[in-house]
Amino acid sequence: MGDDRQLHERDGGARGPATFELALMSQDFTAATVTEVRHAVEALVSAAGMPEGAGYNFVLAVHELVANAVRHGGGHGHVELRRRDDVLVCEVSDQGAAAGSMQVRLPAADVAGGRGLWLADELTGGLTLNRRPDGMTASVTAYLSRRAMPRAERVDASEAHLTEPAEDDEK
Amino acid sequence: MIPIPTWQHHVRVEHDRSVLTLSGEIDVNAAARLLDLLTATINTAELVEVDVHAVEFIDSTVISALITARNTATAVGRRLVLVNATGRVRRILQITGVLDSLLPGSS
Repeated sequence: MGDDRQLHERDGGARGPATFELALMSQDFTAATVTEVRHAVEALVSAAGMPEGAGYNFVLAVHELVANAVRHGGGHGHVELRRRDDVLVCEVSDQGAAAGSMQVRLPAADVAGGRGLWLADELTGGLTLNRRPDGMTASVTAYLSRRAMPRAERVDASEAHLTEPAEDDEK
Repeated sequence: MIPIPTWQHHVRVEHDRSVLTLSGEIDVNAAARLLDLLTATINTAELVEVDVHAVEFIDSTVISALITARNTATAVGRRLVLVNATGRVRRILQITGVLDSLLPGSS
């Protein structure tokens, strides 16, 4: 599966152009299939070899984007998951016209809504929002290994994303 | 098309409280129904304990429902608290900064 080229690229130090790309999922969704999509993403992320805690963060982030598309983006959308070297990229596109649903700040603890996009950003290597003429495309990335991570993000990620308490998943 | 239910609930009304036990995966498709359920349970007792020990998944819309219900309870002089929040549920509540305000110890 091109692992040799991938290793070569990574050992080169700097992250150059992608040498290895694999489409993992390309699927339309509606409200009715939100849970199904989440389970499918979970299985693919696990199969890609992502550690469980970090994998769960990514799955939840993708779910938040899908849920956001269903609620604010016209009720349906399209999700694409692919692996580029040791980075997982998930793109969620919708047909939403509303600009009011793009809050990425964390609301106060007594405010009911508005945490979805913040979570997607917080739980991953980054959230990108791209407004198209006919809707929005949101994408998140996650690193399959710490070596694949940009150097500047390693400290932050090791604290915030990758070192969740192991006992949490055993309960 | 109605999605297959991924979660369940059980309400136990005691003399001084109602305990709403939730289980399974609760997501955006369940949030409105969950809010109805929480609101209805607030009407049954002064204190509502939402037991989430068997909950495997929540998302931001579930957090919204919990906070809306807690605010509703507070507004009518009642209390709604979360009990047995562990694992992933506890962590997402913690990350979003709402855990402490939903636990029994908070005012």
